Amino acid sequence: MLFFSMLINAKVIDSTNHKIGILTDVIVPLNNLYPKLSAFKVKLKNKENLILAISSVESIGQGVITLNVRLPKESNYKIKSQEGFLKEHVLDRQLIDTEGIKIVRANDIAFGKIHNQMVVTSIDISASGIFRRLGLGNIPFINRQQPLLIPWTEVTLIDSPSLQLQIKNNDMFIKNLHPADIANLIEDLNIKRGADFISQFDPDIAAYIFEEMSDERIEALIKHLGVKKTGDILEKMSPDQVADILENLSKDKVKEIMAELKPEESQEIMHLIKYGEREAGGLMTTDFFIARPDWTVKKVKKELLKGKEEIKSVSYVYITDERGCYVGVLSLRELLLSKDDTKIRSIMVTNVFSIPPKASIKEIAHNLTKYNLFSIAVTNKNDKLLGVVMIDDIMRELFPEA
Amino acid sequence: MASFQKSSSNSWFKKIAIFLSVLGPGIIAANADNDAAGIATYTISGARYGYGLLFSLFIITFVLAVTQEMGTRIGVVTGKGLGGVIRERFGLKLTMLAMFFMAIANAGVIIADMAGIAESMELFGISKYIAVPIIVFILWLLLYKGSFKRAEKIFLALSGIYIVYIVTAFYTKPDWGEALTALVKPHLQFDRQYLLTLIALIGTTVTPWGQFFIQSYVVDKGIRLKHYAYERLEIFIGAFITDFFSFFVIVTAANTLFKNNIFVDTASQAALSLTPLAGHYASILFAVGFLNAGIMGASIVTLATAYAICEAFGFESGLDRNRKEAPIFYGIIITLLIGSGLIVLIPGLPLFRIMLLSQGLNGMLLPIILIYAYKIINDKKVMGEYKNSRIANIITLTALGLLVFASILVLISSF
Repeated sequence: MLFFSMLINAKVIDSTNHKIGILTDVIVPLNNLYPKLSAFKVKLKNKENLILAISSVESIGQGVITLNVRLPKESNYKIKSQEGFLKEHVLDRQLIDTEGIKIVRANDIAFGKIHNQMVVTSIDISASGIFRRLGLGNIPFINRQQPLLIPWTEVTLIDSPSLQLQIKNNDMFIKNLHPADIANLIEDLNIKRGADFISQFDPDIAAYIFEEMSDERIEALIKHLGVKKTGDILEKMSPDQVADILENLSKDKVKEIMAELKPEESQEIMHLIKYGEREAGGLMTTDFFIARPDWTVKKVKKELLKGKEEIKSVSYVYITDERGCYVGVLSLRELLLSKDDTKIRSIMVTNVFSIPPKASIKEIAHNLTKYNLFSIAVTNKNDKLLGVVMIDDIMRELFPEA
Repeated sequence: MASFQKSSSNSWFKKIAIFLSVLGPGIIAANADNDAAGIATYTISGARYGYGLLFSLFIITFVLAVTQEMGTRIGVVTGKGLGGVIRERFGLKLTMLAMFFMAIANAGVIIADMAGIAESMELFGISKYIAVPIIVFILWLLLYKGSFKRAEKIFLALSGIYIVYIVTAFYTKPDWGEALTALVKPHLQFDRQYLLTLIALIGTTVTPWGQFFIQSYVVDKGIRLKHYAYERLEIFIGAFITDFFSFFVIVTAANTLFKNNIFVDTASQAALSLTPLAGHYASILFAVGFLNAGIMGASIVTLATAYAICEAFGFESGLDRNRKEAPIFYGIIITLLIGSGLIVLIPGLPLFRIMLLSQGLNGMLLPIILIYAYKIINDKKVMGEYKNSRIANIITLTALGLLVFASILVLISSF
């Protein structure tokens, strides 16, 4: 296998077999799946640097590059915007292994041939790559390790400006990684770079990533993200989660962030912050679906579809009267099995059960189990429906390590 | 609301709150500098030369402040550890060289701290052949089972025991005028032992591992450029605390050991310096503090070494990984622990002398690491507008020059 370490400082020979200089870097398009080598940077004997297109290269061998031109005097290649230098931008840098989901360092770069053209195939992250770079690669006693190659398609540069490009353009990156995995990656980065990293995602995705992180980590990230960006992300999260995050921040900071949110949203959040984190009021979400008793099944279905973006879970349809008092509940199953023109009043369960906002996590868990529910309504003294505690919010509190 | 923010950001209260939030790196590094090897070095210097080497503390404080500030600034600006920045700025071969010298210097410190552990156990009447293997095993468990973070806090709290040096120093009623004058009055003696002790004093305070440690610490803490001024203040206070404390150890040793012509070769002699205050308990008191400082130094430096090497070469690292996931990281840790343990167990090894020598070695290797840091901090590509100032450069280069000069003198006089 041909490695980059075998090409760096290789002799460059022209078509008449004269040594003209040495190879110092290789230019490739950084955003391609298997980037073809597009040009070589050559340092001439007079210290001048030339960029020579791959088309002027006759053959590439270990330690020697042969050209098909005579004594080139000037560069014959113009570097394109998405292209980068392997030595300057990739080698020795940190990369994200998007398959193994960890941060690695490029100790060497491997080349291969696809359709008879030289391409970058993988990154060597092993100690073996280090020995090879030091010229000790052929000493069997020292270098017993096998190279540990990660395919180029599965790595992403962290440091380079092209990362932004990759995240924006490369859907694969996001599809390959679950938000929980991205959250893990960010935990490995330091706070500053973690914040840089997360700010490259759309607020929607950043919100998902936030949901997978510990509150303390988010708190630290928020300090670096700035108020504006934080507001954008928090707006995409459910008010109960935002309340949990903001609870740990200073009053000044909360005020600053609140100013960035929509007024109705910030009011809801302020309301939630007042409750304890391990009480029904702190755990509940206020993004849930509400229907009226006089609606038809058809109208409920239509409204459900309209609001699908904002609603986190629809295990049940909660029904309130004009004053917002909790009067009934309907399971999704019941709704789907009922005829379109049926009135909700006739199919909803009316002997409803609810808990006060001060209910402890234990009480909630107890009731969820007792009544076999996926979520439970939270009401105040006047039966007004305040929110819904979802079973997954409870599980997260009970098994935070999962 | 805008007016509210404005008034609060100007208030003293907020400034103090920010300062407290960045508190940590400088003070912790200061504390870790006073490891067993450090205590041994200060005691030896006070016992042999009285106040003669006190002047170096004055200079060392500046050098420590400037170098730690540099490491902090690189960490805050790049968001990377020193190993990582060296690798990306200098490429593989020069990184290899830096890591090689750092590893040698650090191994020296770990051996010295292990020797401190062995010596203190001997003071308790436990043979080093029994104590050292047990301590090595406990350290391994502590690091491997991940309970290190908690244990670290206990060590830090226990290192408060060294306040007894300050009390003892006052108890011996030294001539403070003379001691303070000695701080600013250079006293030079051109013999090998003196120069070695001088280099050891520098090498025990301004350490190669300290450069890596402080930078990783601020990166880990995620301190922002905006709060950099506060962090710098904290670093300066940390540097002052380090040497404030060293001052009292040296004064104590000078007023007890030096006055009575006790040439310190063992921990039991070093412990005598606490006799005026603690009487018969001096040896126990010294042993507890010395053991704690040894364990703290050995574990922190071992960890710092493993982290730096893994960061530079891209191996998995971290106490939250297991041995399968991070074999090289744990490999380095266990090699350092067992290796240093074995060296200390060599029969008849003059342990106290080894401690001084290892700090001398640190002082001689320090310039190499500082050259890397110096190059990085003056590189506009890496540091942008946060490049070094002229004054910081002059202090660093002067310190570098003096260290190299003294090292050469020691080497020449050794032949």
